[in-house]
Amino acid sequence: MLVAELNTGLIAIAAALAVGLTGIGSGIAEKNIGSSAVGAIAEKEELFGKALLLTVIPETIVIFGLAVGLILLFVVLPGL
Amino acid sequence: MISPKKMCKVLIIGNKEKLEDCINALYDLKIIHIIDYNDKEDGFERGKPSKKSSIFSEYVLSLRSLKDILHLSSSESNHEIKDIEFSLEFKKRLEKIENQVMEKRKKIDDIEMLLSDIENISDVNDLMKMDLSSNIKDIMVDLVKSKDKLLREKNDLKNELHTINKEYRDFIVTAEDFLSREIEKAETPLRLATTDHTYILEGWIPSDEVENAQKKLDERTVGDAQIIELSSDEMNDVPVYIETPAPFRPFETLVDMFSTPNYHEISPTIMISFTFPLFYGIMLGDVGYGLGLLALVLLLGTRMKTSGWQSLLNILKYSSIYTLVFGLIYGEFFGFEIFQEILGVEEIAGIHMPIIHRMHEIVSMLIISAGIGVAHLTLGYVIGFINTYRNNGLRHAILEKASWLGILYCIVGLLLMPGMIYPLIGAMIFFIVLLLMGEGALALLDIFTLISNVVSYTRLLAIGLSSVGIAMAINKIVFDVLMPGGILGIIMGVIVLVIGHVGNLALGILASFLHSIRLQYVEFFTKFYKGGGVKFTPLGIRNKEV
Repeated sequence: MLVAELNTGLIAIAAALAVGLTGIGSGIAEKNIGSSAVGAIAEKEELFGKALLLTVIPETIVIFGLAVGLILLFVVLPGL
Repeated sequence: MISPKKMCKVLIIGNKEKLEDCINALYDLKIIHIIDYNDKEDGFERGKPSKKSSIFSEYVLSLRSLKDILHLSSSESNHEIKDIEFSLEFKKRLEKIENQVMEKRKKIDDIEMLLSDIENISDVNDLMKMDLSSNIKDIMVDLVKSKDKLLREKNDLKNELHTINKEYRDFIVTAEDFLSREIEKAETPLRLATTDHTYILEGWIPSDEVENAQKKLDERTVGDAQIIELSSDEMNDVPVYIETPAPFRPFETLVDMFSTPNYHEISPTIMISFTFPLFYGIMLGDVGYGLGLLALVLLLGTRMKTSGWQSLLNILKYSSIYTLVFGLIYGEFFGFEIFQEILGVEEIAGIHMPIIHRMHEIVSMLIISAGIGVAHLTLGYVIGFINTYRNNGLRHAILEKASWLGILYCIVGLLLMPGMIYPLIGAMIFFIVLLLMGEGALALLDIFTLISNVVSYTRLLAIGLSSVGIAMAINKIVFDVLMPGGILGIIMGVIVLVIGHVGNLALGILASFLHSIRLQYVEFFTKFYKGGGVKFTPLGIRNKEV
């Protein structure tokens, strides 16, 4: 009983870490791209579309994290 | 439709005296993409612009400044461009309008300057306290008092400008358009090579148009200009002309934003025009938000007339329709569940409603997303296979593209059928060997990229989930917390509801757009698309129309 509850808790922590840490990762990556993008737009306004697109490219990292988190919560956890 | 039209390199040679006729004919035909002559060979020199061009340039300059002052855009006139008599009368008329406008503009500027000065000394009482001679004081007080009068004068002047605008709008826009065309014609000789008596024009014409072009040229130049087809093996820098059917044309913008297709490959425009709105709809998928987006698109459609905006809005229009369809499949309306919560319907025509509930069936949505990813990547590799087969032969196509497809399906097979592990691993080793032969050892690293490509498609679920999550949170705050709290609660509730859903819709529109386009560019295009082509811009079609 205690072990099962411990496992549930650990899985919840694992899911939280997966989403949270990858979120920080995306944030760091987007910070660099975003600041360069703003600089580029200041010089050449037409680049807005491309800059916006490039800025969201690292969002993939947090999406991977979210996918892992979802799998932990909805596939691994019910299987215990 | 999918592949670029076959092009043919040609030389057009003729007598210099007939050059103008030839250029006029080509200009009307709109089929030749001129290669600029770079002035390097002996015995030839660059042509000279016709004499008209400098006079026309002057006219165009003043017309453009008028357009600027009167805030006219070219799309405001629907008049057919007709020949304008460039007599003394035209010159006089233009000068008259110009004088009127400039005079009024100058007066407005003066008044605005005065007004801004008055702003600085607006408080009359302060003036009285200052240590100034009474003469100056009087003048300044008068000035402040005349503010209303000046404002009225400024308004009158603006109205007069408006009248001028109404009266001459068509004249200015039509004349500017016509003259710009004439200048382009007059300057075309700069792009070709001439000798003392002849000219040589090099360019690309779609192969099936050559015969027709020769016939038209014969008519217009009395058989003087001669088209010579060059059977060149070098097909470098061939301009790309793809006849995309009208409904798919907006999506060309998305492809061109990445890169223009080159002459040797399949254009992904048609594929994208199905997959882009599909992914958009899967992500946003909400009847309420779909209607909101459609309303926004239709509203902006009447305001934004430039071609860039129009294609963007058309893309969003298709996307909003897919959003509505997926909204019905998910049964979502501004975060509410339509069928069971609002309508109280369990099934329609024997199908359980909603077909997929995103918040409850996360695992099946994950699998569907990855499945869509595998299908999309397969399409990418198949197109890549066809491109490589056409350009480099079957061997390269199998080693470089089919091997990847094989590896992809082995990985999928391992996940779906763990029982078949040995035959699948055997097959995978076979495909990896093919890959090593095709692309070298570094390609091994890309196998992980392949897996991340598939996982990347889970954003189809993830982006949608975050959007639904926010919508549900807003609804919960408003209907469970604020609304039961009396009148003040209801007022606050309405405010939160409107701001919340408008904000979430704005985020949803942007995020779905960016992530949908990202899936095309990063996941799909990298499998087959090279780009880097030159767009076919024939003489006679100006850049803004392309």
